[in-house]
Amino acid sequence: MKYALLVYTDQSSWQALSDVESARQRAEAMPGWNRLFEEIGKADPNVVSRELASASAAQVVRVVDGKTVVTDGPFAETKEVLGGVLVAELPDLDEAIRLAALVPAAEYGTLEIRPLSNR
Amino acid sequence: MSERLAEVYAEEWPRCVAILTRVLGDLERAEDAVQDAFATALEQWPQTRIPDNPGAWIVTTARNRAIDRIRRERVAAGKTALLARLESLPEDPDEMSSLPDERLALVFTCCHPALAADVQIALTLREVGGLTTSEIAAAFLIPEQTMAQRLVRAKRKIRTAGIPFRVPPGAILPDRIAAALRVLYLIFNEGYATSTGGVLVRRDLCAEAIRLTKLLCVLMPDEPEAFGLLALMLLQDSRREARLSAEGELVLLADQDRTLWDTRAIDEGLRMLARANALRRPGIYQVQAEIAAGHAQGSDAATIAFAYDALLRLDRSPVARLNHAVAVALAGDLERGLSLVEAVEGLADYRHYHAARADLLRRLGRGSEARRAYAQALKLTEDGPERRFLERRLSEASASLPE
Amino acid sequence: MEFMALVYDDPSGWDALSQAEQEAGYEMYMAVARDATAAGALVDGGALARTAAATSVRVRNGDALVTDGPYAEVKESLGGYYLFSCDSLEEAIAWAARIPSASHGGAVEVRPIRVDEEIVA
Repeated sequence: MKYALLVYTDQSSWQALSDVESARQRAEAMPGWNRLFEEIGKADPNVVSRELASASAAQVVRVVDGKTVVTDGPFAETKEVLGGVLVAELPDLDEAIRLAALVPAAEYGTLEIRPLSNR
Repeated sequence: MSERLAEVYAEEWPRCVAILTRVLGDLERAEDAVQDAFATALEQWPQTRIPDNPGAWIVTTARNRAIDRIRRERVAAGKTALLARLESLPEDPDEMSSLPDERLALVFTCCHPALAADVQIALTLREVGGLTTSEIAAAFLIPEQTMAQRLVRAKRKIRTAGIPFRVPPGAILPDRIAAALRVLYLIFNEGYATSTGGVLVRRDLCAEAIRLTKLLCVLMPDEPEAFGLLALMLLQDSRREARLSAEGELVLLADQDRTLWDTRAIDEGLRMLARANALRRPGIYQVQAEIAAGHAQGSDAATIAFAYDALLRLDRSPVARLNHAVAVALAGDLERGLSLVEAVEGLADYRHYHAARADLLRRLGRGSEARRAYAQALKLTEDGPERRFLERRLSEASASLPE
Repeated sequence: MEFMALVYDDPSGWDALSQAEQEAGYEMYMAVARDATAAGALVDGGALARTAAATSVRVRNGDALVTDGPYAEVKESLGGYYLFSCDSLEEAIAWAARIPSASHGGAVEVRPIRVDEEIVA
């Protein structure tokens, strides 16, 4: 079954960091991410994973009366925002949970696991 | 006949649902098939008599019904595969002398953390307990329709989210055992609380929780916490006749008529505790059972407080810390107990926190503070013996204590 | 450049549609995927099961806390994603505009993919 692991974090404290500090924190999280990628790669070599640019760089697209309308900013104003997506073919939910718990962001954010629906 | 039938249903339902789920890989389909088989049993057995191996009869009938059902479905994902798997079961009860035991996998599936707590409870009672939807609804004072929907959604989530049907592997097994025990204890506590409200249910939830925990002990004979929980439930349940006065008012432990305590339950509880201790792996339920055993055997307050110290080392949750603080107070150090209570954070919405604080303030003669604390506890307490007890305390405190 | 198009819709709106309308809707979602693939612009995509099938995981103090449900209760939930590879943001927006929820009361959020050799697998 294919699962999406959606990485939700509170980006507000992240925005406040200096470039130097944010680079340092990213470097610190590296071993954790490497371990996660190793594990998820073993489970599904075709795993798709992407980090999203910050929510402030988002654009929301709607089509109203046939016209495309684009607004700046994220779709939802929630405390935690989507920062990354991992999609992998996994045997069951327990495996998805095990891998989600390895994502470094799980320590301060929330990993939402959603099965992909067959369409 | 119908009482025997009810016994058979309760005993064989989880066994058969578990086997069919293993074979079909789908709890909902398994339940439908077993339900069909029992419906047939209810029609036939009164005439023909209950078979010697009712489980085998149900499994093979369920197998045959499921095959018919799937053949009739126009579009069924993996139809051929499902039929092949069903064909692996014998067609005839006589070919099936012993049934494989898949009940443990069923317990862990129903108690999976990806399901909400109230859903875990309902599903466990339905699938492992064999209670009907309307019995469960009645036990929780919820409309039957609501409970039915809760169960349907639960089974749908198990399927769509890919909750596996199995005993969890070693790495996560301890957490999952703790989750299962938590569900059973929640069921027990629901029964323990509603009994004081005087609500009659067809299946006493406490008895059901005890029965299911006994099953878990049979399925996991090397798990000390299962025996610890069973001991705790038996020891708590032993006091049920003494907990309410003839007028239906709450009677505190210290004031209970001990001749009303169920000595058989106490003996059984103590035996289960001994079995747990023999496995030499302490845990929170075993320690709580020690405390309950202390109460049952008339241990002094200092001994009880000592046991709460042990519990605190295993469980630092706010509720455990509150119970420890109260035990310290009751062992004689009211001031220290009160300061320990007030040091616990996060229990502002927990009625027992305010009630405990009120009680200690009352004992220390601090009237107006005690009254305020009782008032806060009352805001969080529903109608029933507990509320009436607190109201009495409040009016006593208003009458007798200085400002 | 890669862009993630996050599809937001109201599941109850979808449920209110007839079978035929839903089939037509699926067709439109697939058409975008097909055309984008043919243009070499689609890297990956998928529809997500409803939030009823969601499970959340948080690790606090070394313990993995698993709960039923999505990360938060929001009225319009994430229904799917398309991962586009385009020359410009404008092109990504053009693809996003073709996604049915954009014109049927929902919205599509487009976000650039962060390129960071160290983090991206």
